[in-house]
Amino acid sequence: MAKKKVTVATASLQSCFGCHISFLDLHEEVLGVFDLIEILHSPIMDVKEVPQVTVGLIEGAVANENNLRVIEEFRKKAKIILAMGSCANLGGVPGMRNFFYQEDVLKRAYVETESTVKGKIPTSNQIPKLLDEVKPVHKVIKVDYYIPGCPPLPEMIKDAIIALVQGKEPEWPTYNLCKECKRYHTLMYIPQREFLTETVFSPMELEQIDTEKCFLEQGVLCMGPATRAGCHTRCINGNIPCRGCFGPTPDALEQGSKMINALSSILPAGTLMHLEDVVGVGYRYSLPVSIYPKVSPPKGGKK
Amino acid sequence: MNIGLFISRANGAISQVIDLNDLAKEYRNLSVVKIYDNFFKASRDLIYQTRLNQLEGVVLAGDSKMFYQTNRSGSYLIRLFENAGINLNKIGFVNLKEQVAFPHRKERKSAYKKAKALINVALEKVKLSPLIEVLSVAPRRQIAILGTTVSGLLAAQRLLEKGYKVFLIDRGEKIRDLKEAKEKVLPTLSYIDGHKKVEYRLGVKVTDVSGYAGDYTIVLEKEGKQEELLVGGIILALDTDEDASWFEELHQFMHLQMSDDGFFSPLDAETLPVQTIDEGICLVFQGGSQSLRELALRADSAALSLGNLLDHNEIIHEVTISRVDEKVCGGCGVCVKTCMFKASSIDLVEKHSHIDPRRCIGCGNCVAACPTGARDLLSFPSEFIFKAIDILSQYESPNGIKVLTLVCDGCGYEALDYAGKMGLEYSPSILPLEVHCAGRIDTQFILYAFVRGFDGVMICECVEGRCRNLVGNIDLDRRANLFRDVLRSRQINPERLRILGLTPCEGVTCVNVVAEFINELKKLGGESSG
Ligand code: SF4
Ligand code: SF4
Ligand code: SF4
Ligand code: SF4
Ligand code: SF4
Repeated sequence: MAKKKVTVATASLQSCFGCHISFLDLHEEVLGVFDLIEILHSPIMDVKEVPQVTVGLIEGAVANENNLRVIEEFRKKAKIILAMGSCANLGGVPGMRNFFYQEDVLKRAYVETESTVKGKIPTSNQIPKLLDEVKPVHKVIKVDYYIPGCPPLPEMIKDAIIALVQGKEPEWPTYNLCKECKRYHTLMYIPQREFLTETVFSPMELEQIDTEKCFLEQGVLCMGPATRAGCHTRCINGNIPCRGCFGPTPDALEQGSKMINALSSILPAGTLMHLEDVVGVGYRYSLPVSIYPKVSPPKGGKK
Repeated sequence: MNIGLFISRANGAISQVIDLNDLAKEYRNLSVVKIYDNFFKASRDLIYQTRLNQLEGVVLAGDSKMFYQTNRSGSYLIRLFENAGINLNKIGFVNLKEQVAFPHRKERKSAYKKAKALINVALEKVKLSPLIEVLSVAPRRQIAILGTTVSGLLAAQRLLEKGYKVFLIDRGEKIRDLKEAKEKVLPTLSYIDGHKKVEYRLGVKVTDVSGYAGDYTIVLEKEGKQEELLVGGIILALDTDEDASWFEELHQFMHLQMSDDGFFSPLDAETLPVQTIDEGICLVFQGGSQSLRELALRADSAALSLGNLLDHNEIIHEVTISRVDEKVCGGCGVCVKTCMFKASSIDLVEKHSHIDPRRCIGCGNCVAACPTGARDLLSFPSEFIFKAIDILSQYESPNGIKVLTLVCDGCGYEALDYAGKMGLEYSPSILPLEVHCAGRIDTQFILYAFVRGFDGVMICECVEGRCRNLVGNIDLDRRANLFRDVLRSRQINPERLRILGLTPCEGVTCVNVVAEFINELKKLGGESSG
């Protein structure tokens, strides 16, 4: 006697499709999940109408008018909306567009890129209009649950779906990544006010990065302290510092300023100012959910 | 929560400018709102109202907060409120006199609105601050005197007479040369020398002081060997001519207010010349042209003051430290590196941080630094500061410009008071928010102020070397330097953030910079762009 499967529709807004790939990865890892759910609609299926479903799984940020239309329809058709990945719940990489005015973005993309000859900004109404501000899904419609990560680990998607099927809420850690990190420290836990290192390095500059020692102690900017745990140090295991894709911990309002506050007492602030793109690193995934989520309106108030 | 709002006319100084009756009417929803001529002559009624209405919090709108710290009638009133069951963290202060009525006496409408905004902030503070716990300490009847100067020896004699054990500590190997006072002080010296309850520690280096009134630990070092002294009180009997370097050393672990000349300063030079913000530490400095008589009087005051304190069976401390939410803390260690006072450590098994209440002085630097938001400061919780910024942003400024002014209460708050007392006027666009220390300023506050529509943010920090929390100003500067890029990234002109180093008496500088800053903001244009 087959139990009735939970119906799912998925959507991809402004995104790289990576979350869907992570979702599909489940197939090999945990076949069981697909016994529980049935996908009725997704970008890889040729179904125009969004049917009534229990779970609406949304990937990507809300960046254009078409995205708006899609999520509004999803909200109507799905009982539970699950925002999947950093784009959907923080604004993610596409959210970095909020650092710029829209006309500058269009000009850069269609006119100024080095490979463009005689480019012009398209005016066709076939192309959905960009919104002024890239937003995470929850700033536009009510989101019931979310899965952090760029992309989330396949097993997190699994855990979230199983939790929902069982009528529970998926739960994520509230502490920062350092708690999950196994790297050792020599200086960080010693109450001395001296900076950890004399200068800072980008990971490419170092001939060798100690695979066991905390990145910060090697003068490499790691976003772990200002980033919510849950990924089991996925990048760090590959000897790449954390870039903060899981977003801020729930008790911090944002990552960018918080990381600056912290860095000022651990790495040489002057050198950081010149050598690192502290803003880019701090807001890479979470600008649209930060305190000041986009550029200020230009003088005179016109956009 | 039952909150009472008490408003003072300050004998007319406030009521001349602000219509207090109208103002009081706006708070009719509170348990009690009452206007007085002068709080300090009405303490009986204030306490009566507190008990009658079963208040859990009070807001005192009138005099400067400083008055309650540095003046005996002020601190007495606070004591009375505490005895009436009000937790120290549930007493809010609104400085209507020096920071509203005096500087805005010609702009009555704005003064009224500003008064209202500041009262709303204080009400929120009372609502959002957690109760502060109290700690009871059985005081040790032992006192350490640093400096075998004339005044130190005189104080030692008096304390020995009162039955205290005294440690006489100095950097030199011998008791100092008493010079012209020698002959007169000789009897004192021989009294001390023959006393059972005195011990000398000469030729030592003081390497650490921790604890609180009634229970300090002083660590001494001599020839590589360490010794811990446990004492109830400390007298600093330093010579301001000879001991400048010793001051500097001691400043590393004795966190007292500094005066303009680089020494520790008493609560009030005239009326409380030996007392400090730390009840258990007294100052009997010598130097300059003091007469022996003056030194003796100081020694008397110090002995009396510490004697009174340590004669009690218990001393109550309010624990105004920071705290950690262990569910949020991931043990990154940032707070350990930030804390100047070695109060923060990591529990390696649980991987979260821990605060040593004997060392933590509640400066809030780690709270600003903590990247997860796991830390909070009991006396100025973050939630309150964000809420306060919200409230102040709703104020309607007469010239359309609004400046959030975050003032450290060790310099900026006093400088604004000073400006007020001097009769200086400045623009009511300035909305002060007290933050305890510049090191407590999380750059998130600044960003939040801009998103809430402030045109500029001004921060008053202590000038170099004068931060009583030692590094609050340095850390703020570092944070601000990196943070300016964040402002640029949102197309907010970084000139809209102004950091001003001040000493408490630089009221004039403060007012001038305010005027200049507002002019600049006008040029940059409305909205936080440009
Ligand atoms: S969250 Fe990351 S993986 Fe998922 S769509 Fe966005 S950029 Fe791609
Ligand atoms: S800073 Fe990075 S490398 Fe260091 S402990 Fe934290 S997550 Fe690990
Ligand atoms: S280490 Fe950091 S950037 Fe990498 S997956 Fe984890 S949270 Fe994301
Ligand atoms: S800085 Fe914050 S998160 Fe890091 S160890 Fe300290 S309290 Fe914990
Ligand atoms: S509040 Fe100040 S003294 Fe206390 S732990 Fe934090 S930094 Fe250290």
